[in-house]
Order: sequence, then structure tokens, then C-alpha cells
Amino acid sequence: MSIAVLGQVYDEVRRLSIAGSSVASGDFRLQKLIAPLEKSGEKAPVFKKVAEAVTRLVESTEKSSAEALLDLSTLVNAILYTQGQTGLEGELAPVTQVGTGILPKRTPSSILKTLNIALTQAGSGRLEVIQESLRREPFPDPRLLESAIDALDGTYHEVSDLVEEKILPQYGMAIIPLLREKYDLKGKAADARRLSVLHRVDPEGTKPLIHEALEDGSKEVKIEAISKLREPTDLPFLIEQSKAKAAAVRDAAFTALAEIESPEAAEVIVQGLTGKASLNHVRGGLTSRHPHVLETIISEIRKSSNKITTASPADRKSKPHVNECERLCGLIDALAERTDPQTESLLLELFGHRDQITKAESKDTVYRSEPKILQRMNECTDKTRELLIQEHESLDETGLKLAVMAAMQVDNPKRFYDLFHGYIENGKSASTKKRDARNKADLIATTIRNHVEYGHRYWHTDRTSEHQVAARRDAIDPRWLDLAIKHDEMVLLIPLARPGHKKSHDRLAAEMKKMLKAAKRPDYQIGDVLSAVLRSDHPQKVDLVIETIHAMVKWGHAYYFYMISDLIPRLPKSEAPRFEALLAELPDVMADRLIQSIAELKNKSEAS
Amino acid sequence: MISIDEDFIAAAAPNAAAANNGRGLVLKNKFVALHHSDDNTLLFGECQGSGKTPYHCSADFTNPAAVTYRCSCPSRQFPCKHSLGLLYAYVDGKSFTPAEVPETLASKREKAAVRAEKKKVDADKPRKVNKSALAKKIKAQLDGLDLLEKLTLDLVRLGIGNMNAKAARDIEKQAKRLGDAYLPGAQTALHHYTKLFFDEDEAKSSAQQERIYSEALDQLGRLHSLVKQGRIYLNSRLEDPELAPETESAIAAWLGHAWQLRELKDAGLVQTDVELVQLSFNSYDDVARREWVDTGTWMNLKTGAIQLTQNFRPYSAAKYIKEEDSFFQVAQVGELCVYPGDENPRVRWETMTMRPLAAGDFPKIQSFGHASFAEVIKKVKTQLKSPLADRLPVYALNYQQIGQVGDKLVAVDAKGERLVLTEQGLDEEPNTCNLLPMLPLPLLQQQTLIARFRHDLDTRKLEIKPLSIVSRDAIHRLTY
Repeated sequence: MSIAVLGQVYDEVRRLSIAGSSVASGDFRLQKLIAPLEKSGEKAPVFKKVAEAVTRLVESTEKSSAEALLDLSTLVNAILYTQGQTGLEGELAPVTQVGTGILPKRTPSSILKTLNIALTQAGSGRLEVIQESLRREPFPDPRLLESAIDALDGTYHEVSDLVEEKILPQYGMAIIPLLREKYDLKGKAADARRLSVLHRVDPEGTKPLIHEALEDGSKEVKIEAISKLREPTDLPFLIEQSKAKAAAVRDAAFTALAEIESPEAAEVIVQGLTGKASLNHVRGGLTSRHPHVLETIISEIRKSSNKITTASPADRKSKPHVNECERLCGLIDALAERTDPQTESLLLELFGHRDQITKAESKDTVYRSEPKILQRMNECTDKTRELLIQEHESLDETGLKLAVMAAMQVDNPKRFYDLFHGYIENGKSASTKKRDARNKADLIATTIRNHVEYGHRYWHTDRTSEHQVAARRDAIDPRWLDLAIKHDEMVLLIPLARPGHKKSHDRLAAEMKKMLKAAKRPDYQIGDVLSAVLRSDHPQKVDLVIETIHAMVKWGHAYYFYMISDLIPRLPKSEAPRFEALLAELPDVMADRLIQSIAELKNKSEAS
Repeated sequence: MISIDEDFIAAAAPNAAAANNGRGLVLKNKFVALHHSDDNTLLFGECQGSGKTPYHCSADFTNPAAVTYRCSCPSRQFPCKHSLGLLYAYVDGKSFTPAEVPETLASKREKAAVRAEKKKVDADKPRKVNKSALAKKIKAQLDGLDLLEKLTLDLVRLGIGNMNAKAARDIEKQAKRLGDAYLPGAQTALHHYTKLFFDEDEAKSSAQQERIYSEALDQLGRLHSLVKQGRIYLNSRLEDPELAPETESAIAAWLGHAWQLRELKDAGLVQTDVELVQLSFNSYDDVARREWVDTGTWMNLKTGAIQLTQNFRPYSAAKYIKEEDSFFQVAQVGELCVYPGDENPRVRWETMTMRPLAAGDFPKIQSFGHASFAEVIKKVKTQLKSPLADRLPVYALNYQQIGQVGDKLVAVDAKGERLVLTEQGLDEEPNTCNLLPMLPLPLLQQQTLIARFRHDLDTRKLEIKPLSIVSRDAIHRLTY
């Protein structure tokens, strides 16, 4: 069959259909095709039919041309549909596999569509949709990969971060070609993210890309690339970048140098530390653990403190003196979390001279070295902390707080109580004019509470943090709780109330009753008190939670329902029926907020 | 004994939200009474709503394959959250006490039983046709076809290149008269042409523009054929009012005939005791029909035919219509009604039960795959030459290997015949070829590919879009 001529007819039909059939009459291009069609028609009758249809069109009037054109196009299309080319010449090679093979998961289409929209389109609530979906483990599914990669380009950075850190790494090496296809080393934040994911899934294979980005990458991509350099062979480049004009690039380079514990890297940091530039210039390198850097920091601190204390009264108002004071504080900060003997020795030395340094410090800057010295001492060994504890009476409020923190870390609860309970006694019995004594009492109570409840938030708790809070509470001398009861100090009572302590239970119950009586809105501390009720295994805990729910309904205050729904699963499983019964009494809107937590309580595995 | 599980409730629910709300009612203890009938065929209860009196809901399992849900609430969702909650309460093991069926409910059940019986009797009775009304309707349809012809010829005279959004809207206004002439199918066919020109503000590349021209030309050919074939069909029915709708071709559906299950049964288009496995599922927005369409592609385990379920949800009523979703079990259908059509006819059923996929189902699906690509290609080409044929037929192909030639992926059969894989398929269908290199290598050898054929009018190539791969132990869905 002479398909070529048929193809020509199709092209002419298409042209006339685009232009309109009115111009078809007498069309000379079509007319020229009649003869070859008729010739082919001698062998295949279908060509004859086409020739006839072409003739009818060419000879049509303006009125009849439309139908003639349609007849011809329908006929030609029908023939061409039977002539579709299949197959492909050439050597067949196996499909170049990407990764080790991922299978599509058994996830319903509705969820895949919802996720696809959440990953690729704008609109509120997308992050929640994705986070919620993670419980169903829809990743890694090859069908969602493209959308997940597109999400790196999104403007909602929380979604992009989630995809970069949690979702895409699940795909492993399979994503490399797709990421590389879109990766632009001159690009913006999305390309930096692509580079980061590539490095997460294939650190070794991404090395050439990292080096390319370091050479020619945009600022964002370059910073990401620098953050990935940790090999000694990267040193020349990092050293070069440590002199970059852009602070972010320089910072990334110094941070990388700090993590490479080589003499060369340390030397660069040391040069930065001892050079003329400000300490800010080298701040990324201050975390280095290399001995040479540490020695230099210590030596620079000594030099700096000496310079400050020996400055003449006239010089103490000068700008260089202000800069030196700020530099000293920065250098002391660089000793954070160091417990080596050299550091401890220096800190003790500085502690001894703290009054002298404070006196010489410029008043034109907010930076003060004493609190920083005390803070670093609190991070040292018990021996150094001991000095802090012993000196508590001579310290100001900031220092006293650090001394209390140090005392709680030194494992001697009895001594801690003996040394510090006096502040509460004095403060609570002091007259109103003795504000300093009251402030110190409040500070002691708050510091103990912060220590016990560290990491705990009543609106979002987890089992681990609850256990840790209870463990820290139990490590505190029980006399503190009696003291709290004696002076009705709720700040202390809330973290320290413990199971079986009747007086504290009575006080908590009284406090709850008082709060629940409020006519319009809940006391902002109600979450803390209720949390203490549960943690202390209060005998009326279930009643108090239920009363609180009723009060919430009365107040119409939705926010605290989040707190309540977080607390309910911590109650005994046996109480689930009471809450199920309660749901029926609540307005639908309120009940909907508690359904999940009551279901969680009901489905608790442990028999509590 | 009523035997149901959470999967059963999820399948019965019109959407995920309704199921969640139903479960919520149980958790909120909103059911003030839970009962079952003495014969254990009915669950009924009272659910406290926002008003003073509770809603009376029930689930009637007289026919377990077609459970009847009733509720006194005003919800237009069916089954409503109260009926679903009742099922959840049962599955959760809540205490259902035996009780006498309330009089109103008993009377409804009796009426339903009478209706069911009458339906059975009516099913055996010959249908009475109001011949004069039918003749009047057919004449109106023929007038409608005259209008469609006039519009089509006007469009051809105008030329595709001169079409724009304004002209398309004008045509759509006139096309409404086709609906009045009992030709909704023809109206949709015209929409398929006009919709190509609605987004004229969107910048298009030259290739995109050329594709639109080719598609438009094809659509005009379809309209032309619809007029011709429709006229022949309607004239034949006008001459013989006793004549049933055409079952050999899809012309009745093209004109907009909404087949009733009874008509399909009367026409003998019914298969009994069939098991169906869903091979792929997609839901898309059909702008021309102004409906959401949930389409399931299924394999009939009895015949090996690939059949389609289509659930149409008009925009205006979408929230009241059950939204279909992927189905991962085997649907056991007592009576499967098959619409007239091509290779992949539409199917529907009134009742079904389900069972989990078993190990033996996958080899069975593979056994229905076509081993010879050449034979399938021939069948596809024969189908495509009909202007009103389904342009995107789906086949199961047993391939020896999926490999690549240059940057093109190809499937190869045992005789070395090749088919090129393409991303072009239905609108809104996600890309699937890009997934193949990510799959484990064994899946690219000697498996069964569920593929949608597509003839590209511009390149004149017949290629396939992969939808799923069936291996010896699973169905791997590539699309959604």
C-alpha cells in the first residue's frame, strides 16, 4: 500500500480543516494527488475510494465542501489508524536500573492523589496531610517519587524540609538520576536541597557534584556543598573558602574545618583567632576540638582578660576596649562543653579574678564575662562546680541560679536542700520591702522546677519525657515538697508533687477546684496543675480531668482540649468507659476533639 | 449470623469521611440502643443526633450481597454515618440485644420483600413499550442529529484554526439543545471538540498546537460518523418500535442512552458467577461530561476479558455519590451486566461479595495475557479504524522482556515483536514509564503488562502506556 500518498492526502485534509472547508473547492494540491491515488487504486481498491472522495471535495461547492471534507478525513483517518507503526529498530538493551528496585505499595488511589496534591500544589494544611500520611507508610512508592522531588522546589519550606529529611532518603539510590536531572548548580535553595539529598543517599557518588558546586555553584548550593566536606583532601578548598567574602560561605568553611581534626585545619582556625579580623569572622571554627585550637583559645582568653584589666581608666571608654570585652565573651563561649584540665584551670583562674574583670569591663556593651565564666564552670567537673556551690552567697541572681543548677547536678540531694532551702524560708517570710530575698526565693523555686520539668510541655508530652520528669523529681530531697506545702509555693509543688503525698494532693485538688470555678476563662496554669495531678498519681485524677472537660465546655475554650486530649491516654485503661460515656454528653465539636485520645486510651496495651 | 469486618464497612461507605464520622459516633457513645432481630438478619439501633429524638438506623442483611441501609436522618449520603456507625458498633463487639423489630421498620422490610418479589416477577414479564412516546422521542432525536450535523458542518466551514474560546462557548450554548433532544451523548461528543479551545489564554508550543489540530480533526470525524450512524440506527428503530436498543455496537450509548441493568439482562448481556480482579484504577475530571469519573480496569477471571467499571459523579451531586477507590480484593459477582462495546466493555453489577486475592489468582491473570503482540496489534488496528471505537483499548500482554532501544522503552514478546512504551494515555493519568527503571529487575522479564494502546495521529505510531505489571505473586500498579 502506498502510504506516502495517503500521508500526503492526510496532510492536505488537515491543512484544509484548519483553514476551513470553504477554500477546499478546486484545491490544486489535492487535485495533484488524484492521479497517483487512482494509479494505486488499480492494485488496492481503497485508494480508489480515497481518489473518489478527493475528487468530490475538489469539485464541491462552498455549501457541500464541509461534508465532502469530513467524508474524506474520516476515510483517510480510518485507513491511517490501520497503518500505525509499531516496533522500533535497534539493539535492545536491558533497562538501566536505578537503585536496587522499589515496588509500588498497596495504597489506595485516593490517598496517593491527596498526597500528590499536598506535595505539589499550594494551599493550607499540606504539611499536616503529609505528616498524617506518614503513619500509613506510603513511602517509598515509585509513584510518589516525582511529586516528592517536585516538593523540594516548593515555597513552603517546612514541607520541603520534611521531604528532604524524612521522605526522599527512604528511596535510596533510586532517586539519584531524577534528582540529578533537575539539579542546577547555579540554582537556589531547592538545588541545595537536591544536593543535600543526593549526599544523604550516596555520599561517595556525590563527591564530584560537591566539588563542581564548590567551584561554580551558586551561593546556596556552595554553602550546602561546603557543609558536606569532611575529608582531609578537602582542606585546600576549605582553607580557600575560609577567606571568602560572603559570611555564610566563610562560616560553612570554618564549621567544616572545625570538624576535620587535622593540624592544617587547626592552624587555619588558629590564624583566624589570632588575626586582626573580629572573632565573628572565625565563629564556625570555634567548636573545633583540636588541642592546638584549644591552647590558642585559652591563651587568647588570658591575653584578652589581661588587656582588659590592665587598661587605663581613660582607655576603658574607647571602642577597641569595647571590642576586646566582646571578644573575651566570645572566647569564653568557645569553651562550651569542655571539661579538660586546661579549661577548668583557666576557668578557676578567671573565677578568682572575676571582680577585677567586671570592674574593668566597658559599660558600653551588654556583654558580661562573669555569667559566662560561671556558666562554663557549671559545665565542668564536680570539682569546679563545687566552687560555684560554695560561693553561692556571694553571687548575684544569675550566679545563684547557676550555683543551684550545679548543686542539683552534683549528686547530693540532702546537701542541696541544706544549702539552699534557706532562700525559700527567708524569701517567703521576708517583708515586702525585702524584694531581693523574695526574688532569690522565686529564683530557687523556678530553677528547681525548670530542672525537673526540663523538656516537658504539657501541651505535647511523650512517655519518655514524662518518665524522665518523674525520675528527676524523685532525685530531689522530699523535704523540698514539704517546704512547698509549708509556704504554699505552687511553683515548687507542681513539679515535686509525688504519688502517695496526701498534703500535696490536697493542695493540688484545692488549686484545681479554684481554677475550675472561674466563670469566663481558664487560668493559664491549669495545664501545669492538671499535669502534676496525673504525674503524682492523684487519687481523684480521673474526676479532675472530667471536671476540667466540663469546665472547658462551659468556657467554650477550644485550645485546652489539645492539652486534655494529650493527657487522657496517660490515665488507666480501665477508665476508658467513663470517658466513652462522657463523649455522649459533650457537644459534637468538643467530642470530636477527644475521640482519638479516648480511642488511644481504650487501645492501650498495658493493663493499667 | 452476620459476618462483616472493617473492610466491608470501608467498601460500603460513600467516602472516607463518612466512615470516620460513623466510627466517631460509636466512640462518642451516641448509640442509645443497639439491637438485632431474632433471625439475625437485621441490625437496628437508635443514634442520638443534634435534635431531641434519636435517629433510627438499620442495616438489613436479608440479602448479604445487597445490604439495605435505612435511617431516619435527613442525610443524602448513602449509607449515612449513622448506618455506618451501627456497623462499626457491631464490628467493635458492642452489645446488641435481641429485640422485636419496630413496626415501621418491619413494614418497610415487608414492602421491600414484596418489591423484591415483584421485581423478580416483573423481570420475567415482557416490557411494555409506549410506542407513540418512543416514536416521538426518536423523532426528536433525529431532529437533534440534524442540529448536530448543522453545527458540525458549520465548524468545518469555519476551520479549526479559526476556533477560539468565544466560538466554543457559542457552540456549547447551542449544544444544550441536543440534551433537550434526548441526545446527551451527542452533546458530550461535541463538548469533547469544544473543550480543546477553552484555554486559549494559555501559551502553547507549536507542537501542542499541532496536537490540538490533529485531535480536533479526529473529533470532527467522530461527530460526522455519529450523525451518520446515529441516523441509520434511529431510522431503523422508528420503522420498528419493537426493536430493542442496539447491542452489537456502542451507538446507543454514543447517543446518550442510559442502559438500565434490566435492559442489559433482557438483551442477554449478562454473565453469571463471575470473579473480577481490579488491575488498575483512576479517577479523573471529565470536563466534557462535567463529571468526575472513577474508572476501574478489571480482569474477568472467568473469561479473561478486560472490562471497565465507570462511576460517574456529576459536579453538582458529587458529594452525595459514593466515590469509588482502588479495590484490592476479588469481587464475586452473581450477575455481571456487560454494556455493548468494544474490547473493554463497561460492566456493572447490583450485588457482590468479596474475597482476598489468592496465590492462584495471579497465574490465572497471566494465563489470559496475550503471548503474541502481532495478534493484539491486528485486533487493535481493526478496532481503531471504526470512527466511534474506543481509542484507548487496554490489553494484557505477556512479554518476554521490557528493555530499551536508545532512550525508548520497549516491550518484547516471545517472537521478538516489539511495542514501544509511551507516557501518553488518558488525561490526568500520571507518568508510568519513568517508574520501570526503579522496579526490581525480575519484574521486567516474563511477566504480564496491562497496557493501554494509543495511536498518535501526528507521528502515526501505535504505542502502549503501561498501567500495571502482573507477576506470579502480585499486581503492581503503576498508575492511580
